Amino acid sequence: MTEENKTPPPNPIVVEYAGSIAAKGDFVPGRSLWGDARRRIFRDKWAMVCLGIIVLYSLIALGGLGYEMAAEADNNDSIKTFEETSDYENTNRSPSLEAPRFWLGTDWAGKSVFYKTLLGVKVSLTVGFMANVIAIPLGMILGALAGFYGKWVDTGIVWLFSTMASIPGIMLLIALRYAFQDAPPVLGMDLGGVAGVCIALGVVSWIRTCRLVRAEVMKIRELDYVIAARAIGTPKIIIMLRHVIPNVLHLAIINFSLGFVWAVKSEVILSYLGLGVPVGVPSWGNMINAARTDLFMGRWWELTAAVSAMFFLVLALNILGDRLRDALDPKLRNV
Amino acid sequence: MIAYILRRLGWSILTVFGVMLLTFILFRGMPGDIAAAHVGQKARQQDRAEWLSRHGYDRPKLVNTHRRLVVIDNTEGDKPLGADDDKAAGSQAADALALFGESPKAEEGESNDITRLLGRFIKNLDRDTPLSELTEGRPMAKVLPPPEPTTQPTTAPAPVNGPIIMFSLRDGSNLKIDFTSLAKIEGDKFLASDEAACGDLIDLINKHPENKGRIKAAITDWGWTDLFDSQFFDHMSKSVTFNASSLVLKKKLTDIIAERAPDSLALTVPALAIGWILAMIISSFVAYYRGTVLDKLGVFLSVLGMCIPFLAFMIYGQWLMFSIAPTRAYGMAYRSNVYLPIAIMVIAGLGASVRFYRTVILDQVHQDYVRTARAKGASLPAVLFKHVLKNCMLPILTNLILALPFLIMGSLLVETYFGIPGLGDLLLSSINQRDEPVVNAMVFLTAVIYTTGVMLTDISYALFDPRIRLT
Repeated sequence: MTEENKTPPPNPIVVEYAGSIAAKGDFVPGRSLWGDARRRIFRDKWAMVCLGIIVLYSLIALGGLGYEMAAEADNNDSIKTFEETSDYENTNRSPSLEAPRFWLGTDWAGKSVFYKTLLGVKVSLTVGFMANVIAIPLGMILGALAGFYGKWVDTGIVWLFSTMASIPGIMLLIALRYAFQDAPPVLGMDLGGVAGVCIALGVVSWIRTCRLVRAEVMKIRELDYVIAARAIGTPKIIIMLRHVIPNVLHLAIINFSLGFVWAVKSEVILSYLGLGVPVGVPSWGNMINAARTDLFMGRWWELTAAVSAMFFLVLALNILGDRLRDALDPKLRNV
Repeated sequence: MIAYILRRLGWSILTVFGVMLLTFILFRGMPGDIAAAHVGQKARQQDRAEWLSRHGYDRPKLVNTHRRLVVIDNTEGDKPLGADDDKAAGSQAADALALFGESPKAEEGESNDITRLLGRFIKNLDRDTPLSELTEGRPMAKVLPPPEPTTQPTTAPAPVNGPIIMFSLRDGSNLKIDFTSLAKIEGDKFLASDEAACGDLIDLINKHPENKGRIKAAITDWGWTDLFDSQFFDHMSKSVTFNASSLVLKKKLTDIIAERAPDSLALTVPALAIGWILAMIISSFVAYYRGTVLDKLGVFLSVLGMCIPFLAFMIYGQWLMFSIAPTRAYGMAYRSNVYLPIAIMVIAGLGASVRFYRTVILDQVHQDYVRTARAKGASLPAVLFKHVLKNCMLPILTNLILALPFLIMGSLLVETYFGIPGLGDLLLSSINQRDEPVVNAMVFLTAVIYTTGVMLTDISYALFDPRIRLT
């Protein structure tokens, strides 16, 4: 920067501008969108706190998975599965600090509410993750095809998603779960169980991603660099993969976090209605469903445990999702 | 403009058609045993077949190019055998052999008293169709072991061995027909023999010496109009006209909806209206004080509100109400019981709408036209209500339209939880009872209302907003 100041400036305004940036000391070389977003996110304290919470939840979920696998693989019954932990001498105990399993009290069968809540994390995260693993690629691919190829491909895909969008989300979910109720297993997956919930949530939630991606791709298709690529004879599929898709990938990340919140909330509602994960699987929805009349008998712990576990997860996901959107999509940035 | 409206209308019709296609795939196309849910899991195959036939679920799925074997009872007019006059719906034709193995009495080998026979739809059925296609490979009867020799002379008739059907006719007479000539023995079962064709069966029945024209077996005619006698066209016409009955309540859908809708509306109309007004007031307020502590607090609270599960609002709300006034916490014994559900719906929805409207309003407040209007000396209220509100109306209107289906449906969760007998409550109980026509009607109704609403907003945009390009 000293060299810049030594040479006499041809235009004083430019130098003054460059100098003011240099003097402040935060002149940085140009960053890519992803680099910029990473920097913004890692500087954001709230986003980091939320990320920490989500990592914590993920670890709990992995722990739950490990416990369930160990209990299943164990043949001598030294590790009990959660269903086997019923203890009819300690039913409906209020929270106490005697032992970890009594920290949040026990339910009607004497099972620990604390452990149940922790195992519920696994179901919620599985459902949230798998639903998006289905929905995001589906929405991205269909949206990109519709936006890029236009004409009848576009018409067909728009028809498909406007048809599905015209049934309110919860109704479509209920209809899907109704149809799955006694469907035979598909590819070894029981459609009446957790896999069915994931598929139903995925099938319902690809629409938003598809819509956004389609609109964005239609804009990108008309940009100079795409027209230039077309002019030199690049095949359409290469243009799409190399020039169009990378420019809408940030939408995948944004929609992933939004879709995750929606899936976690919907799973709880479906389980509450008896259309979600099977009864007996420790999930927050099942806990709320089981405890719906508990409050009148003064047993607040099971309900409160499930509700607060869900509250913190959804809060962290919501805030992180907002921050991610602000970082990744400057156009959508909140005022 | 008229061309645009027509095109938009066409598109809506296509969408509604898509919804019907989707509901058909979901409710009729997915494998599952709906009969088992209604007549019981352990019911005989014959009873299930009868139920399916009575409600039209045995018809071909997409188009009907099928024929049936019917046995007509001539004793009192030309009626299909076993047709009940009061249960005229569905098909009452007879496909005797398909049911041979299922009749428990046939298993015992005593007599095959089939009072109610049902035709099955078979593709390209004619006289040359092998009999095994009618029986689907099922046994016609059991081969009985030879009777044990007894010293005592017995008065009871010796059990009949072989596939024998006793037709009970309308005038009270019976006709016993032995089908052994069409059967072969395999193991301990009579199966349809390989040479026997459908024509042989018809001849055997019609030319039976004791028949004397009492019953007549035949293959149904097929005309072009029969093409549409399929589940798909039935589903379409019933969806559009709502001309169907509940499988459980045995009432017409239109009656059920008319009976249930007022309770839903009493809940949702005030909830939507109050929620909207409150959200608008709070969000304008928050937007006005943008950047201050008040704004941050508002946004923070609305995020918190969005994160509390709806179920928690309901359960804690009811508990709170129960501790204040126990009779007001559940059911519709008093009209004023709706206040609590309404309050819960309003509060639970407030967070998301305040955040949304705040963004919409702030988006407009920073536009150039606002600065220009202020610069030329227009007062703040004039700018806000004349210019800003007008421009905010589009997204706000869209948001309201999105809530429209719930106006009719009510809030599913709230209605079931608070025991309000509205449409949402009906939908959930119908799902548990496998009441397919009701579930279908509810889904279709919401989809139609939503599609119409979106179409009307689109058209009104095109009419009132010159910026919208008609493509």
